[in-house]
Amino acid sequence: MRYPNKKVAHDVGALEMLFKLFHKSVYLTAYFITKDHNLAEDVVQDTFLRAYDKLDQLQDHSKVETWLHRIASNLAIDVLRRNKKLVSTPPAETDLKTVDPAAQPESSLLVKEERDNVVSALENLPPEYQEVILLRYYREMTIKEISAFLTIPEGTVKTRLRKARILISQVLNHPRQGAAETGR
Amino acid sequence: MPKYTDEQIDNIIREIIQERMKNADPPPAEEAWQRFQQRLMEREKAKNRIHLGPFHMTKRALVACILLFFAASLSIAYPERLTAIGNSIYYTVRTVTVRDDNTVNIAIGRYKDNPPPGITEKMRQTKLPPATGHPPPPPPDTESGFTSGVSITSTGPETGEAAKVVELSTPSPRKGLSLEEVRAIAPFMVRAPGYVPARFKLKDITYRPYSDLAGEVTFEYRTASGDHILISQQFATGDVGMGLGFDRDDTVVKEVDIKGNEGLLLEHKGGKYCSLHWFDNASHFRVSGRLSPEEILKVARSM
Repeated sequence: MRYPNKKVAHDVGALEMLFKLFHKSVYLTAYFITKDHNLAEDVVQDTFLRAYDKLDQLQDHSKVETWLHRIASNLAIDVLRRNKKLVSTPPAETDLKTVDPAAQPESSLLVKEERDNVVSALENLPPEYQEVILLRYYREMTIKEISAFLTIPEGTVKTRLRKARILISQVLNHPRQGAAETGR
Repeated sequence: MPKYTDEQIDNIIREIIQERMKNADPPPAEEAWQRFQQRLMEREKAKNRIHLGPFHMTKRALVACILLFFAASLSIAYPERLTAIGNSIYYTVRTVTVRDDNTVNIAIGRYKDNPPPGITEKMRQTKLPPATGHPPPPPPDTESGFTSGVSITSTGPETGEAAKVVELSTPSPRKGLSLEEVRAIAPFMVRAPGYVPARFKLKDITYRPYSDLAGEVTFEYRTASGDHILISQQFATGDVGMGLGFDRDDTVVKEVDIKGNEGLLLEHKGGKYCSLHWFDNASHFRVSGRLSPEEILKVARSM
């Protein structure tokens, strides 16, 4: 690949390091929200293009990973909004077959139908809720940190998490009602 | 009456999401980078196209415009900032193992290209002593289960000059921090465990700054009877390597998967005491304590 000059080439070289270091985690964020491999890959590419363009806006270089995730998260939600529908790809069969009950003590309490209902309910949540769930249950961030990360009030974070819990609770305790909720 | 408690629902959500992420299967970074590079080039070319509208320019004038455009582009580029970030990180994980009759020394590290030349020989020369007897109850700030201290070295940011290997200093740690406090002061995204066996209670969170861009966070959990878990996350600049030594008779080494990253699980004394090391992005993680292999893996995968 030829670049116009050494300076730009060196710049791209540094970008390559950044890309290879954070590509995977940025992809996971994008995939979690879009639930689609192709869309997630597009979001990753757009994220690093934007990072390349907006690097001067990064105030604190040590927070580059957080910054990239923020960009990816926003882009993923934008993609879904543009499509005006949630991309709901059914979980692969292997997702269900590879469950190791011994390693999954809580979810092993669930029968397959219940588990499918929970997976479906989570996947059909609006992207704003998915984003909060990702940060809380995968990144293990606190309410306060999620609030700062997304620049939304802590009350909004709590509300989204509470609604997600109530929804799952309904799905588990009253499967038909929960299914109706997720179908809305 | 609800079948599930809030805590169980939290755990169900957490486990389903973590499993979903485990199955996400991102494309290889190299392939993705090639596609990105192509797209970046196409975009830069598109940027360089000049739409003249109703105006017409000679070919020579157009070339001059293009040259001017390149000059302008150069003046607004920010290579120094990006380079500074790029130079402060590293991305290739390598494991070097040296074995003799009684001991195994392992160096795990993340290097830009390959481990520094001579590392294997150095490991042989600085052979770590084998374990003797049952591992003693760990003091709170040491790596238990290993018979040697864990040696961590860093080459520092890549400068294009000959790499200079330095041992990371151990500056005064800040103890007694809350999770929010440590996340506020650490120059990286601190990962906390989402699961720890109920018998362990969080006793302390410590932060050791290595530099403005590097440091180590340690979570210490203890039981009423004094058993403990140490969970640490290290973020350091440049190539990073770490040496571990243990007795072959007492330790079983297994390669495990931690959310798609290769991890090294060391089971000491029949699995009564375990430690686990892995790299994820720019961080090295270490979990150790009186945990079963299943428990330590669950702790690690919850981070």
